[in-house]
Amino acid sequence: MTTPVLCCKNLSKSFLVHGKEITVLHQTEFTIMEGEILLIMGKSGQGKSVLLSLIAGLDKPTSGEFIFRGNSLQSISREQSANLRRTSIGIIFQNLNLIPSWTALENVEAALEGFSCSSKDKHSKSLMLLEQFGLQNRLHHFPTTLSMGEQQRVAIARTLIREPQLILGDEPTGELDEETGEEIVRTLQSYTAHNKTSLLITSHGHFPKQHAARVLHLKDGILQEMTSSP
Amino acid sequence: MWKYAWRELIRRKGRSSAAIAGYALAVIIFSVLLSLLYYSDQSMNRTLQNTGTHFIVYKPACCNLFRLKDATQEGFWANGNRSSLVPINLIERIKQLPSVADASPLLSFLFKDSVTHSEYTVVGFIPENKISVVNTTCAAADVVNGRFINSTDTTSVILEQSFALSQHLNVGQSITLQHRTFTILGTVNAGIRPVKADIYLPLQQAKQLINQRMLVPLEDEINIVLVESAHARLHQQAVQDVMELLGKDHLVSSYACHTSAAKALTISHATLWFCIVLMTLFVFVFVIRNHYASLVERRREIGILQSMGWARKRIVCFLELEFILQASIGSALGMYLAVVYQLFIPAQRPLCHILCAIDSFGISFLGFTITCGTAVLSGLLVARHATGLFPMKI
Repeated sequence: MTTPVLCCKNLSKSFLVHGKEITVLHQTEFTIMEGEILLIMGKSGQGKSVLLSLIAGLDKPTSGEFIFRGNSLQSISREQSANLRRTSIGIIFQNLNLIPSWTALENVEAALEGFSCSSKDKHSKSLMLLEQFGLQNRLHHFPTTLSMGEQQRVAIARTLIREPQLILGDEPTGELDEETGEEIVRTLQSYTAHNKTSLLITSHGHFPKQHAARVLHLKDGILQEMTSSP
Repeated sequence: MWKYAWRELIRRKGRSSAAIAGYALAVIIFSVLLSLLYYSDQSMNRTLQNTGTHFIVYKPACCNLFRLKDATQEGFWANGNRSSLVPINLIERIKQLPSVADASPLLSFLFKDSVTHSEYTVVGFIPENKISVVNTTCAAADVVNGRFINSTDTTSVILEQSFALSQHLNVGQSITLQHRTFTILGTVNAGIRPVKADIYLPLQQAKQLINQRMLVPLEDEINIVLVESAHARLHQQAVQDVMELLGKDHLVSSYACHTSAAKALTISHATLWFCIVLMTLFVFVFVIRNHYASLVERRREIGILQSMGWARKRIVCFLELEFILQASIGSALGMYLAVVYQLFIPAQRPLCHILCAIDSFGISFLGFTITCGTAVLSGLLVARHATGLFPMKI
């Protein structure tokens, strides 16, 4: 019996733009179980990235709450939120968000800041992970000299090195060709299966549905169950 | 965190160079301006601190001294009045007052020439005592013809120019005083002084001359004390202290220009401090603006670090260390240039006189300290502000 990792209850998010309130998410509810791959689909501008940023604590919801591993995240402090992102929740951004002045290895090592391990351990762990992703010849390359696929792998390595319990992926294959995208998906799938990590992916169509346990559809701020894959 | 800060400094050469150059310029400008002000203040201080700081003390006599041979027509004179004799050991006691820079004895006597029946005043003083004599009696700078007198000139005198002209006396000629012949060494135009006379000679020679007109010779006695106060600001205190020492039956004759001098000095110091505060504020605003601009450029990076789970303290520390590195390198460079610059200014150029005022390592170090200090403080404020926003807002 799997346990719920994340519960989202009555989540709403509105923005004030030029004095006008725009509701992006309306009374959204869903649950992710341990080891589950949940896919949220929707057209561009429906609020998928906003949803992920709220889950990650990068922004505050207008109303509603998250319950992560049985703990409400409604009134946690900024420091606690950062701690959660460091230890339990990993994010893979749509635009990757690698630090351009740091090499691939340095971007991954930086993810281990705040962990109680030596610089040597951080270095060797980062090295090992990047080698697993086939980037052993790109360790000291800056993001601008890497291909999109290589940058995406660095971004994923940066997320996975912390061994989070929940991975949030915002269009992780959106900028990639089909073959590279499949490779990324297989990497993530393999990791989640091996570590019982939950994976929440948002996509406007590029992510293969067959890899997800459940697919939800976000439209006009409302989340609806779409299909369940066997 | 130092490795991250150092890495940013090395890899973002353009941004780092601009920041370092900005700090160096701030230190140089600060040092130059402060040096100019300090130089100006010191120059003014040197001139004004001794302005109006001299006075004389004497004891007016209400009746003729019994010791004089001709008390009706001759006598000890001070400030247009007859005066009494006071012991010379008072000089040492006055010199020990903290508000007094120096004191010197003086004899001033009005003679009546028995042959020509003309009157003339004679002052006996210590010519080598430059501090208290120069502003109260006469000085070498007052010489119009010939040379100034000194204590070894036992058979010479110097004359006030007006007296010499009226008596048709010139340098090199002789003058007979009380049946003694003296050579005229020079003439002086002493201008406005508390003590003036027709004839000036060393104190011992004057004493011998005066004793010829005394029934009871002078012992260790004088009739005027010349005093120089330690500073324009201490002048009033010096007058008060001397009066307390000598008693209320004594009088002081002084100039009032010490008041204006003291005020000018106070204004000068206040201006200097005001300018230091103003320049510090300017440096602070300049630095904080640069930091803010730098962080606006790096907002995305800050957001990425926050999304990776870096604690706010860690990000602030990272940014602050980078600011510290930029500030210390730039300020040190500025300090070095500010000190070295003046070594290469040709001494002949008039401008050097002002620009060479950057002669104090202390002033450059002050510029370094203030620039670094404001960089650290403003960096902290700006970094905390920048990391205070939610990552998505960043």
